[in-house]
Amino acid sequence: MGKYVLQRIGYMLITLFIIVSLSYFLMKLIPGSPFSAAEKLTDSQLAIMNAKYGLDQPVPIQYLKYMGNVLQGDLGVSFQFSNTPVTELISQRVGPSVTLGLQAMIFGTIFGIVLGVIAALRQNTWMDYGSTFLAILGKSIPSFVFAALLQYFIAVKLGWLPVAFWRGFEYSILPSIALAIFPISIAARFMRTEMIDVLGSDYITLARAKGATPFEVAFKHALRNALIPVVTVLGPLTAALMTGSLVVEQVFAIPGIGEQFVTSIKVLDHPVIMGTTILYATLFIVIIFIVDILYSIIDPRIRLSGGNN
Amino acid sequence: MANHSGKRFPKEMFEPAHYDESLGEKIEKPSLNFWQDAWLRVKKNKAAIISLVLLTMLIIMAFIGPYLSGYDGDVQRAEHNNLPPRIEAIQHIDWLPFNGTITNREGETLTPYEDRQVEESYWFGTDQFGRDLFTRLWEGVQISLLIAFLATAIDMIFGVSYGAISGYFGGRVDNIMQRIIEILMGIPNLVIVILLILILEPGILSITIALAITGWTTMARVVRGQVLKLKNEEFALASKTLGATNIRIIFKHLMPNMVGVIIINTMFTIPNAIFFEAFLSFIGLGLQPPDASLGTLIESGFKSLLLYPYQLIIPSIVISLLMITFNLIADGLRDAFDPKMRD
Repeated sequence: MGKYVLQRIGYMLITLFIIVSLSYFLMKLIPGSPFSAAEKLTDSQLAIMNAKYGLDQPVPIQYLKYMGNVLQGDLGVSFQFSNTPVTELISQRVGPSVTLGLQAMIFGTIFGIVLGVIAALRQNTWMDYGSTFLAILGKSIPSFVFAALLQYFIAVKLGWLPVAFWRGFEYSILPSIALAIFPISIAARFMRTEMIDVLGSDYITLARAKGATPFEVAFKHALRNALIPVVTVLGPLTAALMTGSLVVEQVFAIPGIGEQFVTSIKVLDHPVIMGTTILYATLFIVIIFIVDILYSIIDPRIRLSGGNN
Repeated sequence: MANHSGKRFPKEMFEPAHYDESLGEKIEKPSLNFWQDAWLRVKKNKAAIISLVLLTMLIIMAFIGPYLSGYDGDVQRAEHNNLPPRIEAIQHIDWLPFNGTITNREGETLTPYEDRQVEESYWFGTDQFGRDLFTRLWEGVQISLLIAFLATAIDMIFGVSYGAISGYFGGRVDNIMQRIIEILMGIPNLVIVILLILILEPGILSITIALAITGWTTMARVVRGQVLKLKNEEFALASKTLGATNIRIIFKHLMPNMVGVIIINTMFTIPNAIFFEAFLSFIGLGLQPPDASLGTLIESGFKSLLLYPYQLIIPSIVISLLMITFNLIADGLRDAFDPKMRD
């Protein structure tokens, strides 16, 4: 186990290094500089700007400098917001994104699990079909389409909830629901399969034979074991939530990281693009790592191997 | 249970049946090949069949749709801008949204066709430049499908080759190739796709390439798993003994056994590609005007959502239908090709 964890951490660091380097060089390949579009600058002004941000040096040197800074936790300064450090920009905007992501994740998995359990307990009834249908819808409808429709029908037409912006809990409800439809559908489908599987096993028959009520059988005996594999979908869900947050934050005008990422892409604010990329990649890798470790801890049947077996 | 008591069973009923040994080996039903068998099982799945019909209709419309309304999707007519949908045949049915009226934010019903004395009817309305949205919608579906199919095809070819080579040759080759995949899978697709699009400049080709580059890893892993399993089977050994080359064994003998898995994976990749294309367009990295894709239509529809909701709702319905049908067909195929893989 210890060896496995160490090996995984090694891989994580290599992966992260490759991602950062790759994104850095890819970004350098993007045609146009951050200053070419914004204002009409004379050549000498452009030269001064480039010198100020170190853009006049050869790319490998810029790269080494950047990597050195990143190791010290310095992600550079934004081109767009004059001289604001990227770390500061990002930390200002982490709040809404994290709130949104967590709310969507918690609401989505819990609701999805409930749907899946109901479908499994009432297999091949209208409840089962209904929940399967909901799961297909959630998996199929793009989150931003759903977000825009929610915004129009619930907020604009019915006026039940605020249309946009970020000023309190009620502002976070619609975007969280829009983000949650994917976790709901994935959790529901997964849960249904696992639950049906578990309900067919011998210890459930034993519990029934002992005289446990259907409620006890389902929630005390079956649910616990059926929940274990659901942990594995948390990784893909995180990736989906990150993708979703980019557009959902756009739709609801939420000042989160996703919204900032999109803006920085549009104005080619290199340090911010890089900073956000590093943040996303780290988050993604760390969550996948945690999920794998968690899985082996709660399910002793899973044996993690060190790769060279 | 039938009623046993009180019934008399005559002795003749218990005569041994006549048994003809020559019929013992007779095959009662025609033997089915892989495809017939799969089709038999897909047929039982109502959702998949309905989806197949719907999808076929959508694809047909994508090709003939742009010619049906008689308007060119690129012609701008400022005097006909933002007209709501109107279909003459059903415009008097009030609950259908095709009567050429639109409700503004104060709740008043506007009749722009009459107000502006427009004789023509635009089935799905027009956009802010007065372009016919019916034509643009189907052109958009065409382009979205094109991008999705192209990206998926590249995915499939590359993923299958990579997985087959990695699994078949094993050992050090496999080790290195798998480490590469592990690292690639650790990278959030989103980041790479966005950076690639920025470098290549948004367009059909660049979106396709970006989607293909990030999408093949799942396929490669699945195919590798299959090859690892199949390469030790007797038929592969037999072929090897007869002197078949590695390439021949992989493509002639192993591949047909993996067709099901490959098709299932491909069917799940297509909706994914459709989604990513729309996603990129929505954040402003999609096709450049005047080209239309479902994503760009949704994006521009979203901008005028408050005033002209039909401009968002119609493409939203179409993209959702596409995604739902592809997913349902993929589900159906998965159950049909490989009953063990049911989720």
